[in-house]
Amino acid sequence: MTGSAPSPPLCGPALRALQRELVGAQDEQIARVLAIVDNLAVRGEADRLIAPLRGRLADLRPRRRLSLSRLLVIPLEPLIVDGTDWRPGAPSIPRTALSPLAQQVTHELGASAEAISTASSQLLRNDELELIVETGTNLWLRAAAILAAAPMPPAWTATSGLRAHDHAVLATTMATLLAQAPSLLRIVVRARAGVDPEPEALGAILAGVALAGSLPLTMMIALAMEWLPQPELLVRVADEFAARQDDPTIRATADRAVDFVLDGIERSPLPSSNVALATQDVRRVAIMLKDLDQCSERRASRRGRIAQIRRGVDAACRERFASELEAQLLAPSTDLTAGEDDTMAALESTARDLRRFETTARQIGSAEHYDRQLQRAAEALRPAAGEDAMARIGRIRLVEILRGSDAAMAMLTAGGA
Amino acid sequence: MSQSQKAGTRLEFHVVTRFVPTTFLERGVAVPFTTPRLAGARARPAERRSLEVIVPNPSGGRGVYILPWGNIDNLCNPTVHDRRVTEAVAALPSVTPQAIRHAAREVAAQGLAGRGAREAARRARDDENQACVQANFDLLLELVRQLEVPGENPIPPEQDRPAALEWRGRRAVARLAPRLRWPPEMVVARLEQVAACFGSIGVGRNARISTSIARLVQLRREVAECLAREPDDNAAEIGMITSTADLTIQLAKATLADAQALSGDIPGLLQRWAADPDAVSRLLARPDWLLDGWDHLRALWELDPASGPTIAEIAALVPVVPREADEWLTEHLGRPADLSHYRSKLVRQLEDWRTGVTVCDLVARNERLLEKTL
Repeated sequence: MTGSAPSPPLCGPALRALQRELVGAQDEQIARVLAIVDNLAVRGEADRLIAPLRGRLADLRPRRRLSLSRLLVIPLEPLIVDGTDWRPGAPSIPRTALSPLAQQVTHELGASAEAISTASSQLLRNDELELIVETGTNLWLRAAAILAAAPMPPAWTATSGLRAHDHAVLATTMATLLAQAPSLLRIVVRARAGVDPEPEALGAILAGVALAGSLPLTMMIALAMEWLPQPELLVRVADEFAARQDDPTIRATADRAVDFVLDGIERSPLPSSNVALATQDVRRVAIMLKDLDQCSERRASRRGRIAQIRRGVDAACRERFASELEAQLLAPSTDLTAGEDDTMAALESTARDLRRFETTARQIGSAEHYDRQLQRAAEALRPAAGEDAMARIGRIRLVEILRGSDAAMAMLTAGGA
Repeated sequence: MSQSQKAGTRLEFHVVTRFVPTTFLERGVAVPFTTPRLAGARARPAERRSLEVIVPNPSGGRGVYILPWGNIDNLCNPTVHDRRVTEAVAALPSVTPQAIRHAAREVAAQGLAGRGAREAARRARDDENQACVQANFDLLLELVRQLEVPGENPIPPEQDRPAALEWRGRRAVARLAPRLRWPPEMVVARLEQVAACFGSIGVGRNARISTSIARLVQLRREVAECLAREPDDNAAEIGMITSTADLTIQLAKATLADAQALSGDIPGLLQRWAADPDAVSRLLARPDWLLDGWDHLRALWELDPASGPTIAEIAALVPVVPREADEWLTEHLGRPADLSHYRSKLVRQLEDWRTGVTVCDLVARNERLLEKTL
C-alpha cells in the first residue's frame, strides 16, 4: 500500500493508447502484463486493457496461473462471447458480466475465498482437465448456490454495460450450468481418455437443467457439444430428450444449441492464427460437422445447414492452406544454401504442421485440391542443379514430409544420388 | 507359412506366432529404421547369402513376420532414409550389431534422417575412432606392464613422460616379437587390429559397452520405480521388462568381464588373434549382441518416460535372450518371455486425423530416437 489516492478509471483515449502499445509488444512483455492482470483481485479495467490481445493470447497459450475468477468460468468458456456480440436471450454469456459476477461470488464466499484462491493459483490453465475439475468442483457448486440467489450489485450496469434485468437471467443461468459442471466435466475427462459417455448420464444432466427453463437447457446442450471430444451421442440424447417434452420452447432447445454451435463455426471457422493451432480448429470443426451430420438423418434442414457450413469451412481451409504453404514454407525455402540447422528444423516442423492441417482438412472436403497443392509444393522444392549437398538433402526431406518417400526418392535419384 | 497379396505382387512371409530364437543370429540385429511400420525390425542371414527381416506383427497381433530383405517395401512404404539403410545392410558381408551400426551411421551422416541424426552420426563415428585409439594406447601400456620385469621401472607406464613411454613400448614389442616369432612390425599391426575390437570394451577403463550397461541398469530401475508408484498399472509389462533387463544386465556384465580379462594376457591374446581372429572378435562382441536393441528402448524411455504407452511399447520390443547365452555362460535360462502377449497392446493407428498423429510425426519421433542411438 502506498497510501496514494486511487488512480482514475482507465477509459477513453488513455485506455486506447495503452491497448495500442500492448498490441505492438513482444510476446514476453505480454506474458508479464498478463501475469500482473491475473494477480489482480479486481480486474475489470485490466480485462478491457487486454481485450484486443485475446486472439494473440489464444495462439501464445501462455502458462497462466488460475485465479479464482478464471477457475470459476472455465466450465462456461465455450459460451463466453465479447460483450458487443451478446444479445439478450442468446445462449451465450457476455464477457463483461463475468467480472462483476465473479466478484459477487468471491464476496459471498467470505473467508473461504482465500483458500480457494490459493488452491486455484496452484493450477495452470493448460493443466490436465482432471486436475482442474478436482480443484474446481467445490467452487462451482458453491458459486451455483450463491448466484442462484444473488441480488444485483449496485454497480452492475456500470461495470458490465448490461441492463439490470440481464443480471438475474445471467446469474441464474450460470448457477444452473455451474451446478452441473462437475458432472459434465467428469464425463468429458473420461471421454478424452477414450471412455464413451453413458447416455443415461448425459440425459440426467439435461433433465437437471431443463427444470430451469429452455435457455439454460440450450446453453447446457451447446456447452456439452463443445466440451465433448465427440458430440454425436450427446446430440442424439438431446434430440430425443427435447422430443419427449411437452413445452415447445424446451422441444426447440436441441436445434437452438446446434444452431448456436454452427453459428460459431460459420462466424470463425479457423480462429487461430498459427497453422498448428488452426489444425486443432479444423479437427474440432471436422469432428463436429461429421458427428452432427451422422445424428441428423431425419433432419433435412439441419443437414442442409451443415452441408452449407461444410462448404464454407472447406473454402476457408483451402485458402488458409494455400497461403500458409506459400508464406511459411515455399517462400522461406527459396534460398536454403546458407540454411542453418535451426532454419531447416523450423522448415521441417512447418511442413509437418501443414501435413497435419491437410490430413485433417481433407476430412471436410477437397482432397484432390490438397493433392494438387502438395504436388505443386514438391515441384517448387525440387533441388536446383548445382545446389550444395545439404541444401539438396534438406529439400528432399521437405518433399518427403509433404508428398511421401516415393516422390522424394524419385527426386533424389533424378539428381544422381 | 502364410501368404499375402499386395499391389499385384506375391508377398511371401512367414508368420511366427511364438518367436523364440535359439541363437543371437537367429534373433537378428536391430536395424534403426525410421518408418513407423518397421519399428523393432531386425535383420538376419537367410539361405544363400541373402537376408531376412523380422518385423513385429504390423497389425499389433501376436508374433512376428519374417520376410525376405528385398520385400520390405511390399510391407510398407519405407522412408528415403530406410531405403538407403536397406541397401547398405544388404551390401554387408555379415550381419552383426557393429556392422549394422556402422551402416546406419553412414546413411544418417548423409542427412536423410535430419540434421540432428547427421550430427549424431558424425559424433558417434569420431567417438568410436577415439575409443579405438585409446584402446590401442591402453593395450600398449598393458603390454609394457606385462613384459617389464618387476622393479625394472619404478614409474608406472601411464605416469611416464611420452618419450620415455614410447621407448618402453618399443622395448616391450621388441621383447615380445621373438617369443611369438613375429617381426616387431607384426606385433604392432596385430595390436592395432585387436584394439579395433577393444574400442567398445575398454582396456582398464569404461567404454561404450559399460555405458550401455549403465543405461540399461538405469532404465530397469526407473521402470521398476513406476511399478512401485502405481502397482496396478502395467504390472505385467513392467515385470517382463525388468526380468529380461535383469538377465541381460547379468549376462552383459559377465561377458564384458570375460572380454576385459583377455587384456590381462596380451601375448596370449595376440597369439589367439593370429590363430583365429574371428573367434576373438566373436568373444569380444558378445556384450554387444546381448545389449543389441536396448539402447533404442532406453531412448524411447527418455523421450516419454514413465508413460503407459511407452511401457507397452518397450515391453513389446524387449529383446528375447536366446538360449545360445547358455553356452556362453552355462547360465540356465528359464522359459523365454512371450512377447506376443504384450505386443497385442501396441496396436496403433498410424495416421489418425482425429488424434492429429500423422505418419510424418511418427517418423520425426523415430528420427529423434535415432539421434540417441547411433
